[in-house]
Amino acid sequence: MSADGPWSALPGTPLIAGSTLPEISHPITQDGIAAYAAASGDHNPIHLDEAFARAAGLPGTIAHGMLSFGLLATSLERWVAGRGRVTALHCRFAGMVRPGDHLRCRGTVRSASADGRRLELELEAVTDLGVRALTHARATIEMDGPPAAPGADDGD
Amino acid sequence: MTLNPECVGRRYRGTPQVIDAVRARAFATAVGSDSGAAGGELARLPSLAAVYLLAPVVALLFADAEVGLDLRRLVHGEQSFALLRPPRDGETLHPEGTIAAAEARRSLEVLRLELLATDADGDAVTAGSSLFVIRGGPRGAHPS
Repeated sequence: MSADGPWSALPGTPLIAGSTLPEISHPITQDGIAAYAAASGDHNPIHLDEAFARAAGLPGTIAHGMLSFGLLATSLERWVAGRGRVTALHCRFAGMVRPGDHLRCRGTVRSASADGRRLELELEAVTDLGVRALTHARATIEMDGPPAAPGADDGD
Repeated sequence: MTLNPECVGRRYRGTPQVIDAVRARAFATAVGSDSGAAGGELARLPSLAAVYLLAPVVALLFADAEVGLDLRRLVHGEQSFALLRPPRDGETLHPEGTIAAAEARRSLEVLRLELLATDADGDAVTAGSSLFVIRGGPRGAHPS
């Protein structure tokens, strides 16, 4: 299962130990990279200037690692869908993401506290070309309430 | 090693950052989040810490010539944030960073920066850690 914009929440995503979260794919565009540069203040020309990036030994402009980090965080937001909040997030920047790629964000709920309100997730972000962009990624979610009973509709 | 090992413990106090809805909305849009449009609290966006904590501190680190960072070979290796409480719209946070490690590892050099944003009472709001890698050659990790 893959979701690809618009950026709506996925309220029906089960958030219990063992859950595999639905893949969310984020398109990477040069305009999107420019928007991130403006919003974050990171105007490093390797992200914005094709000629500069090539002169630096890169195949062309690349997305900010923190843009990929932000897209992974947004995926978390969509999976959580207002039922809690992210309290910790970690990742390793492992591979380049380029304009034209799609960043595929995936996750698994690795464990839950006894009351089900504190979740530990393992995450990854891989491009559609198979480049492992973000590795060793993990997050902690603090849910606002206990998990819904099996079979309950927690989407409304 | 070009990193100055004596830089460990060096502390950077960034410019105070106001959690501003317009700025937060622009950032949310850039990372594909509709939390503001959906009536959510923009300040709860976990990656917003890149703006109010990471960016102002890293700007000071990168401008500090005494650290010995070779920015042409520097890549962002790892990033962590611990969101101790959600920032509030309109509040002013005080970002700071401390160099926790600067060392050689095989053909690489690494610098770890510990981050902290505090509120007007001095209470911690967001903590973080950044690992920067200075590549030893053209086949090292990629720039981020």
